[in-house]
Amino acid sequence: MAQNFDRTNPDEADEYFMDCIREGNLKNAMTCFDPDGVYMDKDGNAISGLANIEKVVANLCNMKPDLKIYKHKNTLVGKDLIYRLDKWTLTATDPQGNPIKMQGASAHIMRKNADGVWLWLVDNPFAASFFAD
Amino acid sequence: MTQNFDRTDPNEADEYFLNCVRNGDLKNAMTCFDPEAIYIAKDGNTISGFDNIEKVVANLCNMKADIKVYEHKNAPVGNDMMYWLDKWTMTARDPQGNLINMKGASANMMRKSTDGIWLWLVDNPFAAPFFAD
Repeated sequence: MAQNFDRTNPDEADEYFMDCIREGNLKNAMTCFDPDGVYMDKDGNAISGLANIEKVVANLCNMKPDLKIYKHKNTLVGKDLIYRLDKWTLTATDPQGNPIKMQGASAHIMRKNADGVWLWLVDNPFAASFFAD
Repeated sequence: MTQNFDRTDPNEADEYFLNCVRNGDLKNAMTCFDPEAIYIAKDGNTISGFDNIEKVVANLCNMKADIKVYEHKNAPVGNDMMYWLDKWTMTARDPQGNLINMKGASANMMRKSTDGIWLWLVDNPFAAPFFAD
């Protein structure tokens, strides 16, 4: 079932991204990243460049995980940036058929493109591990 | 003793800010904020506008709080932004002379001014409680 998302709304922009992941639609998932986008991986490494980010997102899309946000907070910064904190759960099955359950928290930055669509500028889904002491 | 800081280096820009706070130098501490900066308070409320941020920073400066960053990580975002995570401790005395010891973790964003100086765009020193569930 095709859903419509108004990606000029930051929450729906995020919903659209998660929908792409759930459907395993890498091509559309990659339209959710700003050209300057940075992805912070689980080890805290910064991955920049859309071609590099695509490899990470491809791994996610291949699993078609069910990614859900259960809490979030957006703060507008100037006209075209949003500081976004969220908490998420992920349910998936690995290639051997074993269930995967994960949860985490993100500290993101979104930037609005020329069409008014909110894109990931900083995608840091594993922020919580930095804060765990 | 006057210290020199090269504020075109993001780490020294942060050190400069902490130095201003330690010395109770509100005027110079405020030169560390981007005109569009937001500060996220302990209760999660967003404080925007220079005058409002100045009230928060004035409280810190009045205490001459000794803030130390003991772990940090930055990742450049495009040419003029920096994603900044850190962990800090703060030692100060309240107006009654009682010792205050605090610690926390920040998820911040810096932006480079036209002079190449790194300024706080998002200052969220209390990010950790959001992540603690």
